[in-house]
Amino acid sequence: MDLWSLLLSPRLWFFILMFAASGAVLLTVVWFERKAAARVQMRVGPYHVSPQLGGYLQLLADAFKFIISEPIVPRGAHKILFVWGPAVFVTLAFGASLLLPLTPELRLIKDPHGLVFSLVVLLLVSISIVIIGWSVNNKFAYIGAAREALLVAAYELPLILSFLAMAILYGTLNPLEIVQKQTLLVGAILNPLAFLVFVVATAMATARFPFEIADYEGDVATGPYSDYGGIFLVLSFAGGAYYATFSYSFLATLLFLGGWALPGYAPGPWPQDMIGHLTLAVWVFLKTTVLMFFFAFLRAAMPVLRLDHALALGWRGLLTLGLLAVLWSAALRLAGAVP
Amino acid sequence: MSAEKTTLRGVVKATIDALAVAARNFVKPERITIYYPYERLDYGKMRGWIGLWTEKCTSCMMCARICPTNAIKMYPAPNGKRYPGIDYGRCIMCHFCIDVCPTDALYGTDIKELTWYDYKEMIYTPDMEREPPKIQEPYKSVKVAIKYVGGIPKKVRLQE
Repeated sequence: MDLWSLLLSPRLWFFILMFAASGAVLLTVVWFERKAAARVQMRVGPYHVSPQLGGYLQLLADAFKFIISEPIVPRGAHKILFVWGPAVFVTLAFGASLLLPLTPELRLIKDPHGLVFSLVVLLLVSISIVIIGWSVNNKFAYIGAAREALLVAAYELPLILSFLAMAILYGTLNPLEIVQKQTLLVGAILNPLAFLVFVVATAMATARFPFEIADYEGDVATGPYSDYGGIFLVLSFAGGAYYATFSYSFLATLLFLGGWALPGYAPGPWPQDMIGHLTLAVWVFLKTTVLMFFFAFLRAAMPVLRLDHALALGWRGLLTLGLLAVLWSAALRLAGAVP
Repeated sequence: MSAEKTTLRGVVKATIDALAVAARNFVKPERITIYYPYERLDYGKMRGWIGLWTEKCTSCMMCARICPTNAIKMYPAPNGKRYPGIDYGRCIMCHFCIDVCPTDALYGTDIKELTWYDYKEMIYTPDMEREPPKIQEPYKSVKVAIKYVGGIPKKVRLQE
């Protein structure tokens, strides 16, 4: 393998694109979250860092501040888990999106089971949150971790059920075939119930606003992360949670919003049609960003649910809806109304 | 709390309503934010820092008695008189002392953006009250006012 083919390898490009684009998407989404919440709450939001850009670079200033501040490990904490928890968190949260394909050629793993693998890795994020909450040895963190563990039980099954519904609908788990089948009708239109369940469960899984129960500032002082600071906070609460949202949104884009499918456009092979593949990658990131904007906007619109209400919603509402979505998919499949 | 039973329809409607209100405010925000060091609300004439001309003062102590927050303390001077000194940690700028002063020895200003580094600096002695404090203006601020335009409060820039 010579240098030229190494430089043009789709895996390298995928890797670099994912890191660069996810950083840019996160910067934009966090900026949008702050600005949107500020507009709705009659404030201005970030302004002083780069006033010409509307405070766009505020997040960089915040990240810099967090990174240069001293990482403190509390006395009673389990040292190893305390330090490794955030790293595991962000690795799982971002690693899940690396298992998904960006375009037919731009992908890291050729295995057709990347979607399931990605979902499994995403569901492991909650375990790292519980690890974080346990290792801190603080009552708020402990309560937060317990709440997170309760919430996992409420959102995990509906999430898997909506995933199952889409798998039944398409009759395959291969992401390339799934996207190919969504050129005309996207999954969100074919099975809106599954999409609704997936969106609500994602909001629960990533602690978006109506379900920001495990780390709600007013109750438990940011819950599992309450003794974290500096780089640990960036990796878990301030950055890692957004990476989890990014991965969930990316998964939803492939499953429900048609992924890279553009009607009447098919990219050529990788090194020749590089522009086409990069355009499709931008198209995927655009959809992901729009979905993340929705999750960010929830902060401006929603109050925080009580824990028992959220659990009731998960068990009664989402589980029933998820089962209905599976039945709807099966019915469509049996009637032969799907591609 | 209402005793109404929460129905599925009610929950869905409330959720959609919340999103709609937020979306409406997002598209058309009703905010009046004054970027303080760059813009400054024009209060007009307003009660502020209190000065003292000791040569007019008769040491009647009316100011110290009327002061609602006990901010005024009478400091003995070398000439046997007592002159009022104001503790700005307590002063609420009501200007009762100026109103009650029989010889107009106390005078009012509209300097209200006062800051100190230390609590001890807030306690003014009669000598410190002769000259108004110097105002630092790091930014040249634009004067703004809030006016009702068609029944809706709006921020208006005042022409200098």
